[in-house]
Amino acid sequence: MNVDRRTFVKGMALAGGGALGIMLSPTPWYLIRDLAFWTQNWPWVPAPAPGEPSFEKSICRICDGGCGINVRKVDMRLVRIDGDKEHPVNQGSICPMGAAALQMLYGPSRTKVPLRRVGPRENPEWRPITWAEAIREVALKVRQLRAAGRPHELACITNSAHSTVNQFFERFLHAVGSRNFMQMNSALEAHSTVLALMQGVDEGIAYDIENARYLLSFGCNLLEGWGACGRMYHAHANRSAHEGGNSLEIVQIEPNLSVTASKASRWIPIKPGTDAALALSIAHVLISDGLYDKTFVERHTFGFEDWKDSDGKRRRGFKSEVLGRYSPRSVELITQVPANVIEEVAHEFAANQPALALGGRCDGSLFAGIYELMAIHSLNALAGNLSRPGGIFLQCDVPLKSLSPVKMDEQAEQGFAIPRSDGAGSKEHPLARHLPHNLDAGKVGVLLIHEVNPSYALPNRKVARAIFEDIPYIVSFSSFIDESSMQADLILPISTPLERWDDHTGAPGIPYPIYGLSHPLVNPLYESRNAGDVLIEIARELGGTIAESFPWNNTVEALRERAAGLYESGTGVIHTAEFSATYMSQTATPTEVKSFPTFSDFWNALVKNCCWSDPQCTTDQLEQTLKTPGKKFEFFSQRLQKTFGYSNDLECMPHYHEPPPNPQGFDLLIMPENLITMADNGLGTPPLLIKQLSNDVLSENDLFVQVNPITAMYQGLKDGESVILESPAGKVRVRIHTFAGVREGVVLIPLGFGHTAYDRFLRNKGVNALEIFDAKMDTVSGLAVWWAVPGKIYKV
Amino acid sequence: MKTESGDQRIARYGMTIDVDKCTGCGTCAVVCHMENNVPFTVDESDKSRNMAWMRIYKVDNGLDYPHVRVVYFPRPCMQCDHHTPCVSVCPASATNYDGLTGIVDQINTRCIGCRYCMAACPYMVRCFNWWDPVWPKDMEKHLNPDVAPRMRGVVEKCTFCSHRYLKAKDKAHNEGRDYLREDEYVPACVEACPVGAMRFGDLNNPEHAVAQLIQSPRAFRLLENLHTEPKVYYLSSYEWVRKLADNFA
Repeated sequence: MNVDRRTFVKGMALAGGGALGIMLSPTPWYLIRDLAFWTQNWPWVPAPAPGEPSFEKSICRICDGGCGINVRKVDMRLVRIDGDKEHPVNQGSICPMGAAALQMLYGPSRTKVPLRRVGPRENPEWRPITWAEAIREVALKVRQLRAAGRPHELACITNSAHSTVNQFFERFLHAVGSRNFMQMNSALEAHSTVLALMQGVDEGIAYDIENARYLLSFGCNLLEGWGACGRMYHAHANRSAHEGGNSLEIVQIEPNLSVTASKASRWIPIKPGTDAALALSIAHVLISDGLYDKTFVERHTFGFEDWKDSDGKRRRGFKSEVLGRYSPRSVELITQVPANVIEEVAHEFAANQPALALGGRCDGSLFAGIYELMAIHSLNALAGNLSRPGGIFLQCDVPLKSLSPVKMDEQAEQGFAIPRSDGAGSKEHPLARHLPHNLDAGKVGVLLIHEVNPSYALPNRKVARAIFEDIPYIVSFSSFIDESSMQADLILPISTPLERWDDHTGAPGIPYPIYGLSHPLVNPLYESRNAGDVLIEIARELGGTIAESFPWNNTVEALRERAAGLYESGTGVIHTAEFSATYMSQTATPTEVKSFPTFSDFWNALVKNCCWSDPQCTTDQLEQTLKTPGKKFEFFSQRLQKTFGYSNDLECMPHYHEPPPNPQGFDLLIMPENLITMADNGLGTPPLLIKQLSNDVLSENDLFVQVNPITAMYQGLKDGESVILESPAGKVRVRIHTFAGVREGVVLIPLGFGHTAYDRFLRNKGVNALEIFDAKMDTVSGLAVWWAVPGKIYKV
Repeated sequence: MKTESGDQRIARYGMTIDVDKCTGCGTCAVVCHMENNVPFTVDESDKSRNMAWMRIYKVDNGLDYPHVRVVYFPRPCMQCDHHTPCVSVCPASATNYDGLTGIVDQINTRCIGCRYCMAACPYMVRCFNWWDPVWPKDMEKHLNPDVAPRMRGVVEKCTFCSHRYLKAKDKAHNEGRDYLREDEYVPACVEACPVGAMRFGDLNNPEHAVAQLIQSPRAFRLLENLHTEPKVYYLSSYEWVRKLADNFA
């Protein structure tokens, strides 16, 4: 077509006129308005589906506390978690992590199908496979190990819970022929060693906090996740520190102003790492002023007075040692706690009986050495507070039926004869049970990781790296894509606690037996399965004695079998609750186990109410808590001398020894900080908890460390400045926040940040503080010691 | 509502928060946000933009080590009783003061997003939805059907869980009662506080614990000198904490 000038002008006039006409009409304005309406009506805002509301009970498995929870359901959706008011552990109190647990269940970091890694570990790609393939693959790897005569190279790292599923893992390893079953160390593990040494018992420690009047806490973060968090909150709620007179006083001995310190009746700032000296100085005052329980000490302790050994040699007792070396005046120089304060605290401790001395910093797992915990525990003995209301007890066994003995073939027997690869129980670490942070990765061929994240959370970073570099085949049983799963060879999606059958025996620090049983509240959202069921299938695939060791069709069968023991014992109660439709009211009556006519009635009530307990059963007799050869509490641990052959008496008694000087140039002390809002054990943290973080803890992706303003001034640093924090083990980039509650010379770095896996709400925020803590091993217990590390700080 | 004796009386629902007990754990805020479908984003550290109905402020006494002390102030909507600033400025009647309960509620669908209320609120309680809330796919499953998620362009805030009040009132009505018992209507935060620092009830009803607690010399409110008469009272035995409320200016 030929366009001449005339046609062009006509065309333009038409188009221009048209455009002008439209502009003059309301059309464009209406269009703009309609567009705005349209965008406002985008169906992006979800409308939560209504449905039938109901409540069901369960057990919170975020940590090992075993708090009871009520879950509100709308049809098959879980919409809220509250504390269970009838549960003996937490009595309705629940920590923010437990309250946000549904965000983990429904969160984007869930593992959905079994995944096999293709490509190298540094740069993995994941291919979905079927469960049948996955089970065949694990069985094949185990079979290959056995064929090569190396069944002992199968290892397992699992969580610290006392659960039937963990027994399954141990059982599976036994049946294959390996001793290398390792649980991550629990927070109160070091205390078990102390009890073994001083009281000759193997059970865990329990504190009757509910009946105590005075807690002398040596850096325990009682209100930031210590023991069962819900229990401690409940105890704090009932302190009635202001309205009805003092029923429970908390005295916090800690270098920095933690939440517990700020809520304590009294905060005693102390030079970091000198807790043992202070404890022994308090002992000094108790002894010299005659404030200790003389009858108890005389009748039930060993090594208090000077004594003569079988050779007739005179040995120094605890009393002369403490009186000689730990007078308040000399300890003032060590701890920088004024001598009169030490005397005051000792007098308060004696006057406010029953009083408890608690050790273990942060969540209880950090300590400077076993002697420190022994020194603190000796205060409990001086007060005579063993097996007394408000005192120290032992965790009681739950009368569950034990599983039938493992069947082992010849190969398994041979493998089982070979010692563990983590050195627990060996000559170097005779008292240890599990030392995952000491695992010799070169001696492991196949590693099963169950619901833990050693890549992130093992305090010994060299071992954490070696595990994922040197072990040829790693299977991760995990509900979440965590750092360890990201470096595994096979990821097996495990149902979260709210989707599965599971149990939990005992609660940390609770003096009577408690058994928690949880059942699925919803069907698994994805293709996830119960780890116990997966193990049963792998065992069947392997056949022979391994399959015979797992005679159950699924985990529930085993749980039911074990629970029969509770029914047959005829002891204890179940709090049977009826829910009403309102938010609040819920009435429960304790039903005695004896009153259930049949086992299946008992089982149904247990499934529905999730908790069996026996508050009457405590170790309230001294013969139960003192099982040393002489049936006495040993200030001088004969077991320690026998096991290690120490020639120096001091090494068998609680004492303080000065830490080695800081390396040249590292004149600050870096200490970890426990935040209640962050999971620091390698688990993920839900988005609603990250919302809670103040912007002087995390700003965008920058993590803040806290220092005293004076420290900042000496280092020439300003609040908010970006700095490098360096220790002999490594360095991280952080920003500083000045806070007067931090002791001069201390840098406080929060735990739980710096994830490289999980979802976008958690990933790449801050740094993993463990990278700069160079964990040492305690010479006695073998446990990781990383309460602090020397450091320096300088501008980027 | 009427009292148990039957005489017509107007309720004034209020809250007390014992800051001496509060450990700043954040459980109240977490359950509040779960209950009220408050969204979250990847970066929550910009506190001027993030959504929160309950915030927890950490404050110290300004002294040096070792005399420094810290308290935590959980801060829901103060539910001002007198000249409620947000209600008086709202041109769309999207926020209202309920004369029968004293609850300052928010009606999302009426809100035109002018944000006058945000400017008026002396407690910085209100949040504006700059974007539509987005939950990762499966996380929509934990949303509470009793509370509608808000859309982009509206302001939202703590409502003392007024949906719980409506439910409790319905239930009482069905049971032929014209009053509510003390424990029948409690906001999510108060119900969840693990250390028992928060109490809730009718300030007009002398039998309710809160009505007694606010008489205590420990009780104070934030910015009392503005005379907005908040119905959220804080309790503390420490002078320096009470001074923080800025009532002595």
